[in-house]
Amino acid sequence: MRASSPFLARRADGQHSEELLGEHASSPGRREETEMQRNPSGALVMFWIWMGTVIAGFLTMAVIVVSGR
Amino acid sequence: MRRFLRDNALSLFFFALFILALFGQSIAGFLRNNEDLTQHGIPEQGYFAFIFSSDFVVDVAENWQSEFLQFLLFIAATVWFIQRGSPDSKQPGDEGVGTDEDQKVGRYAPTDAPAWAKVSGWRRVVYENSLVLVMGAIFVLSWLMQSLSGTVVMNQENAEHGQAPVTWLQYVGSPEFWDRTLQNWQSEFLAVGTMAAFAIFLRQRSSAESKPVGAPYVVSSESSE
Repeated sequence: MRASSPFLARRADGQHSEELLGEHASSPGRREETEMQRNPSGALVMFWIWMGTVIAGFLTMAVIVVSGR
Repeated sequence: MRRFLRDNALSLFFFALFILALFGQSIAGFLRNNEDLTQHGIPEQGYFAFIFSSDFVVDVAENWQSEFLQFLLFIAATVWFIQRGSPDSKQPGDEGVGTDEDQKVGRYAPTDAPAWAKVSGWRRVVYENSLVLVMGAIFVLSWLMQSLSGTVVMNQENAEHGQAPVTWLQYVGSPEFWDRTLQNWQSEFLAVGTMAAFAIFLRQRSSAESKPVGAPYVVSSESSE
């Protein structure tokens, strides 16, 4: 499994994300991203789907192990 | 709905793969377990009895712990270590935790920054390390579950062979536990190390995990060398 963080992804020409933000702040794509940052409901859903899956997995494992099955 | 699917396609894709693979593992494990039971002259187990048994838990947990350890180490190691030319690395000279200005915390935090990035004290310490803390907690819990369920499985096998049961501590010190653990760790470390090194010279066009195809070999992700 690949281990990497998207937060480490940067442009190889040396431009940092904050520079890009300033550079393209008025573009439609950037406006859309800013809108998503203000309303991250979809991202929150995905966060809790994954977190819920992990928590549910642990609870299930704990019940099985404690019951000695 | 279409927008939700498009915006979250990557995590949805992996969630679907995870569910399919876990289901496939449960079917294969169920069939293999029944083969073992038959060979020992023990009545076969039902599917649901198998997936709610320590036999299944130990196989799931041992893989979970190694995957989360892999990410935990990768996240933490890339704070302090660099690999020149790798898209997963900071540029040479940037090793360390960085300044508050670089990290946009405290008085450097923008107005739309997460609330705990704007404050100081324990809340910021927790938030600025929250990824490592959560991944680390999942790793430790998974490893604990592997050891507990492994103890149950070993004691079931010992009972079948007329041997004395082992305690959790005895199991944690057993070759069985470390064989299961290290066989997973070595493959994870191999995969991470090769990825960090391969991505210096190899490319996948338009992947967020690759440098642009025409980027020079020596350029790291943030580097303008």
